[in-house]
Order: sequence, then structure tokens, then C-alpha cells
Amino acid sequence: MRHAADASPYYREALGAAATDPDVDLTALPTLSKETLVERFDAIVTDPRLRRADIEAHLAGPHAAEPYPGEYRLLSTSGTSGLRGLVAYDRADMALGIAVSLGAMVRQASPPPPAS
Amino acid sequence: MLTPPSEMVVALNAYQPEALVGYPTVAALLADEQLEGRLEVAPRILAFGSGPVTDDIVRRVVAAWGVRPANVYATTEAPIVANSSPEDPCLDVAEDLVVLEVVDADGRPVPPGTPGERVLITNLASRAVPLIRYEIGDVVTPAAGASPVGRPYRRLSRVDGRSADVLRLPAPGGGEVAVPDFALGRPLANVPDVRQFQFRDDDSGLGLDIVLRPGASAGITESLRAALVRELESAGDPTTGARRGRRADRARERPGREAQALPGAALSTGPIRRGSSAAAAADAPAAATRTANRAANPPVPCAAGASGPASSAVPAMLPA
Repeated sequence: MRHAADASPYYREALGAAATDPDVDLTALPTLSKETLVERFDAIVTDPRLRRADIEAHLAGPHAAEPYPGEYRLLSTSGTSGLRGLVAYDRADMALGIAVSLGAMVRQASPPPPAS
Repeated sequence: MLTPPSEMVVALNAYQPEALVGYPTVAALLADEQLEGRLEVAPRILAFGSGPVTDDIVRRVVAAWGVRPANVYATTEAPIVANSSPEDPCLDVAEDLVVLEVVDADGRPVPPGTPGERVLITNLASRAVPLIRYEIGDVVTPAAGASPVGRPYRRLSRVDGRSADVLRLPAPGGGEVAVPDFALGRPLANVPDVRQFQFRDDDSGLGLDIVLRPGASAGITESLRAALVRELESAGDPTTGARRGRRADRARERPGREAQALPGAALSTGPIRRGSSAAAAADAPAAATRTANRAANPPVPCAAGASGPASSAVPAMLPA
């Protein structure tokens, strides 16, 4: 949260003093709607190089699956709600997301069949 | 775009995966391929997401591979939110990665056993695009009690999909009724004779395409139609005209399509191809607002505090 308030113009305003309050109650913070994520994307991101128009252009191009700009994995939602959302994960966050997903998958594994 | 099942079979036979991860409906198709002898793989992990896992789907994949599928709840905004496991049909929230709040329409947390109106996701690993209490209109139900196998995570008993997936249909006495799409699919979801189904909305009303299995019983179309009509007649509480949508107004200008039971012979026995379905039009009272296939099936329930796998692999039968 401190990172968000430091680097995101949107969150600096939205979180205010709560960002540095060690006893902050998450449930007292404002929520983020998809509409806001779409409309204020350029102010929400913590890296000013992540601009919605540029990301859309990258995703529409032939190298959409490659990192942009060199370090972020980009994902877009299908837009079934009528709004196409964008998310960008840096290397460390992507690795953590994959690690947690793989951990969940390992827990899902059935035991191997008994050797015959 | 869905790869044709015949191509998936060739690729999977060559790759011999240890895990199959994907849409439950696609996994069910692959289970049929396995049962019919074309697909020969032995996955140890089956993880399904982006669609409820029905008893019928569980029955088919257990018959094919002897592995109970896990249910994965994920979004673009968080790579994984929750997942079930063979030991517990409830879903463990991936609290290493996300803080999940299940709230009602007023944003208040709901108690265990009560479906929420939406969820608020705080993704702890999204520093580039911070998502703090990000709203997603998913209907999920928190589970009571702790994990029966000692995992430390809070749990969900159900994930029912998007709250926006509600059809507004004209009510018999005026006004309209709100019908969740999974309620519309309920009469069809666990019928073994039904291989696939899809609702569609066109100028003639609410239509339904069904692909039956080979050897489906003769009266199946009629009994499905009757069950669907019963479901619609008991659907929801009529709302006032104030909430009436444009589509509902338009729908009243035209009658519902008459039922036309097609001969049960035009059945697909191989991979499903577009246009191979035996179509049966339900005489639903009016138009739906959208295709309602994705989340149409009721998910396998998870008894709160269950001490073991509680979901049944036996398909529920259609009421006679």
C-alpha cells in the first residue's frame, strides 16, 4: 500500500493518510471499480511507461505475448462485462503468481497409482 | 477460439500430460474422447476453471481417468483466487497471493453460507498495477469452519460466476422476472442424455440447442422441455415495470417460439462440430438477454465444514 501511494498518482489521492497508517483497516479503504481501473489506468499504474494506449497497441501487434516494455507481462480481460481491463505483472509478481498457482496444483494432485 | 477436439486428441496423445487444466466443458468433451477410445492419456491432476463443475462433468472425468477434478477460481486480475482439492470440495482461498472479501450489494461482508453479490480482491503481487479492494461481480459463498486437512486458508463453498449473468424475462402477469443463467441451465445440467446445450436469443425468442448422446431415451426432448418450463415458471420474484429493460419490452411484442421436437436420430457421435447439433427449441415465454451457456450449470456444492469429499459423482436425474 505504501508502494501504491508512493508511485501511483491515483492511489496517492485515494489512500491519503491511510497509506502510512500501520494500523490501517483494509475494509475502511475505498474500493476500485472496473470502470475506474479502465478510465484512470494511466494514473493507477506505478510505472509511467505503462500507458493504456501504448499497451493496447502492443497487445494488438504481432508481439503481444512478449514483455512490454521489456519487463511487464500484459494481460487483458475478455470484456464480457463490456469493459476491457488491463493488468501488467512485473517479473517478480508474475513469478509469485505462477508459484502460488503451481502450489495449488500440486495440492490437487491425486496420489500416484500403487505400483503393481 | 476452441481447438477442434480431434486436434486436441492428437496433441495430447503425443504429449501425455500429467495435468489437464482448462474449461470444465472442454474437459468433459475430452473425457468422452477417452471413454470412446480415441484419447489415451493418464493425467494425475485435473483442474477446471472459468465455469462451474457439475455432477455430470465430475462423473464423466472420473469415469475416464479415475481422478477427481479440482475447481479453480481465477481471474485476470489475480492468477489464482481459490481452488479445491481431492480432499476437500470447498475451495481454499489463495491467501498467499490475494486478500479476498465477499460482500453484499451494500459492500458489507456476508456470513458463511450466504452468497455475496460481489468480491473485493486485493492482489498482493501486482505492484505495477496496484489492485486494492478491486470489485468483481462474482457470486461466491464463504464456507464455515476450517480445512478438514489442516490447511490454514479461509474457504469458499461455492463459486457461481458473474452476478451480471442474470436474464430478465417478462413475467406472465406483467413486469419481469430475474432468472440467473445457471437456474436456466439447471434442468439440463445433470441429465446424462444431454451432451451439450446452448441457449440463444434470436428474433423468434429464446431458443435452445441440445446435443444428445447416442442412445438417448426417446422422450428426452419433451421431458427437458417440461422441466425447463417448470424452472421458468418458478423463477424469481416478479419485479416492477420500473426495471423493465428494452429487451423485455421488445420480447413481449412477439410470442415465444413453438416447441418443435426434432427426431432424436440426428445425433453427434464424434467430436462436436458446429452445426452437428440436434436442435430443440424450448417454448420459453420470451427472449433472453444473452447466450447463457458459460455459467449455466450449477456447481458441485461443498458442504460447509465437510470432513471429506462431499460432492456426489452420481448424476441427479431429471424429475419424471
